[in-house]
Amino acid sequence: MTWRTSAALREGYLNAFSGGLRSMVVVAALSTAIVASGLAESVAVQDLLDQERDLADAGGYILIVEPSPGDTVGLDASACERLREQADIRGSGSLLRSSLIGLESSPGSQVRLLAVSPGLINSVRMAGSPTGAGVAVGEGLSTEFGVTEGGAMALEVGSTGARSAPVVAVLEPGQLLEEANRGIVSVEIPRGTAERCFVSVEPSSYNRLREGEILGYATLSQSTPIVRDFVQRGSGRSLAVQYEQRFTSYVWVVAALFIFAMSTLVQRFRRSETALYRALSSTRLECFTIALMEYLVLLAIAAAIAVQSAIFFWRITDTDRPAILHGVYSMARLTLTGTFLQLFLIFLAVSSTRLLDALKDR
Amino acid sequence: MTKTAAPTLSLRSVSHRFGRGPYILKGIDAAFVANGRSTAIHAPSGSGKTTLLGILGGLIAPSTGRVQRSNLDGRGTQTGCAWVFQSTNAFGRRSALENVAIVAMAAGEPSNAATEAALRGLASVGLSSVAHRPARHLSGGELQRVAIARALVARMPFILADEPSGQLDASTTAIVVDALFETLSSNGRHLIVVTHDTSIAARCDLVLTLSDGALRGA
Repeated sequence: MTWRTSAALREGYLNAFSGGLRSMVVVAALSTAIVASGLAESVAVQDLLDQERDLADAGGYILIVEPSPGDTVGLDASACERLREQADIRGSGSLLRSSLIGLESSPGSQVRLLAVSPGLINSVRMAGSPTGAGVAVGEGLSTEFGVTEGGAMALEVGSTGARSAPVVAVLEPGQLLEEANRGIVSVEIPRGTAERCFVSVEPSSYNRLREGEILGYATLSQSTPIVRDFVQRGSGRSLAVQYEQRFTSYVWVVAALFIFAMSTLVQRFRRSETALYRALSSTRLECFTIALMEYLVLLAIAAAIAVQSAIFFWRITDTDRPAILHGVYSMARLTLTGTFLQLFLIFLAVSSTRLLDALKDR
Repeated sequence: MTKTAAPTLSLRSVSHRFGRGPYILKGIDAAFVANGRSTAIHAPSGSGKTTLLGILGGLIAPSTGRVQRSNLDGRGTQTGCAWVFQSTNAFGRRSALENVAIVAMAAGEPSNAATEAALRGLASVGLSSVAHRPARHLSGGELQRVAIARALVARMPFILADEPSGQLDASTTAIVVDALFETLSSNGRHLIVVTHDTSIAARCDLVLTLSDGALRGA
């Protein structure tokens, strides 16, 4: 017999609804896999969003600004410091470059600027001189580098911890500073070259500022710096990295394998049916069309159940839109993957050279 | 008036083996014409007679050789063969009526016409009373008659029966075999029966024996 296409499609449709337990198993398995994939993804994303919100509220997230690739100069640390003067920004700081940078401080003497931990130097003020007129030199470093230059200044040395109070040291010309921080401090500090700039923002402006709307980025360096996403203070991981490392990245793979296993089982039951169609003189393409139509009908039912279940879940859990979108994307991806798997299995079933055995074995 | 040539099913140097195993069919040449006659293929178990039937019915592609089907035009079929198996003869969840009507529906006949044709087919094999019963609730003999009814409705020129008495008791076998031979009444068919039942073979016009992969006349 030669199936008309419409008749073959109708046959598949009838098979789907007369399949009994087999159809129910397929629908249950498909809908379970689809909804599991979607909900696992949306729950994971929602968890990240909640975590991000909490951390942002607690100032737990900071924005990192780095020089653009190829920028050998680095960031302007003082410009980084000035970012904190903007509204919605809680604070800013910088990590100065650790490499030695030559600095001509005064005629005849070479002074080298070393790294200074951000936050350790609260302010440097030259006594009787405007800012930028001299350097403060640590004692050991003076010997090490043979530096005798030193300007009279008041150096307020802060502390990274809360225990020790800031120390104010007043230096006379030529006087060497005790090695409070083993550094040579240029009076130009906080102006200097920074490796990175950190910005902590108010939660209310979190998303806006994450998108790079902080004013003054352009002043940080000669070329436009790179604004990286917010990272957690503790782990240093950004939301994007956390998203990539989420466990649900693998859920849809597991779900797809589940569909594959289930489908293989169903195809074993379907084998004798396919064989009977072939015995009825149907071509492989006709058998494929019938089985495909049956699958699509069952898939449509399963997808409807899965989507309704997901919507119900999202409503009662008040899920954010980005998490829902990720869930929908995950469900769509799984559905497509499952469908391709099914097509492959149906192709194998109708192409079997052992169909006659299926008719004899039953 | 030109006489229309009868449908013919021919095997040309057909040999077959599964995988890299030994050949179970070796260079078979045979031709079957839908002229109201019947052929029994008699052979012991495991000799390859079901495989031969599978090749005739298009379910198995021969390893070498060709299967030629000629003059099937207008018979609404790809292979021209209807099957009657030992057990798997119907879609279990469909009714007997639906199982027969399926061939008419596939050809694009309207639902009503297909149902009427199926009812006539079931009546001709004495199954009118179980037409609406799900196939999974029918006995083996009834299922075989459903397959025969389907062959009648599909107007298949060749009916391939694989051990039709294999799982039936004597009285049911008689009913099924009678129904099978009834299909030849229209004179446009050829019944090919694979059997080891000598009484069935005796009713056929021609008895062939499959031995050592070769088909020989009895």
